[in-house]
Amino acid sequence: MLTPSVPARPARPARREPGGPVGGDRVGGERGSVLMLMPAAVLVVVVLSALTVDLAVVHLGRARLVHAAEAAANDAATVGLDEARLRAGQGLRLDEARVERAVQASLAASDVAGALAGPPRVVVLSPTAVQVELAMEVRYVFAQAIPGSNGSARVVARATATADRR
Amino acid sequence: MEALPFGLLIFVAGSLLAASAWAVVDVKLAVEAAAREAARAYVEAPDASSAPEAARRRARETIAGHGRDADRVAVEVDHPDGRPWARCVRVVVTATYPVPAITVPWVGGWGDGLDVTSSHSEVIDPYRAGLAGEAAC
Repeated sequence: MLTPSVPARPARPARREPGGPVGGDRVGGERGSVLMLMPAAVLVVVVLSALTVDLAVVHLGRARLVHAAEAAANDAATVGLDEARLRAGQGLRLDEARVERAVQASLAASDVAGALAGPPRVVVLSPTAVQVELAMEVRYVFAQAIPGSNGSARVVARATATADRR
Repeated sequence: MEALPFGLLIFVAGSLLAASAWAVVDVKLAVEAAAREAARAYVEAPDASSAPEAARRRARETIAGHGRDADRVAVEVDHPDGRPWARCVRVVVTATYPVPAITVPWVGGWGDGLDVTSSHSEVIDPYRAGLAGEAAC
């Protein structure tokens, strides 16, 4: 007796797990989740830009201070010479009192006059060389808004000048 | 979906703010150099009549060297103690340059922002040769 062949039935669809993909979507439940990282990324970029500006402001303040120190040292090495000795043919020699006055006058005429964090430190290194050291507090632009930040950076500049004949 | 334009807006605003702040820093460096060079040119000039022009010319050259428009820099020379150009006289040279309100890199600037100023002082060498008068300092 022949057994009639049974036609093959189509395969049943796979059982769908609860919470799994629906229809043809493979990542429908996580769609757009990366987009939520955009504000955080933008915030990081803005913070880095603010940091760059603040560091540039500190660098600018240090440059100003260096230029003021150089000008003061230059004036001290020029105006601070002992004129009596020079006129008497006894060579170049700095007078400490004249050097101090010259430094004070130079700083008073500079644009860091009211911003120094203390009196200048003036040292006569040799009969013809003088060193001027200045300190200043430079305020940040954006970092002041950060809780706990002291809002400023202390910069120090030092310049040396030597009197010489030309 | 709305986070994308919001994030882009914050990014553009932050970038413009940083670019504008950096423009001020850059101009400050330029005018500081211009004031310093102009003061040096002024005190080293051969005589009083050529000193102001020497200072302005040096300031313009310095500003141009920093990639800025030399025609926009203003130079003022002042003698704080009121004495004319002579030995021992202290001079203060002030350079001023305008910065636009909004600066976009590689494009340009718009609006009236602020004027960035820097001053530098020098003393005319009391012992230099070629000048009349005595060193009274």
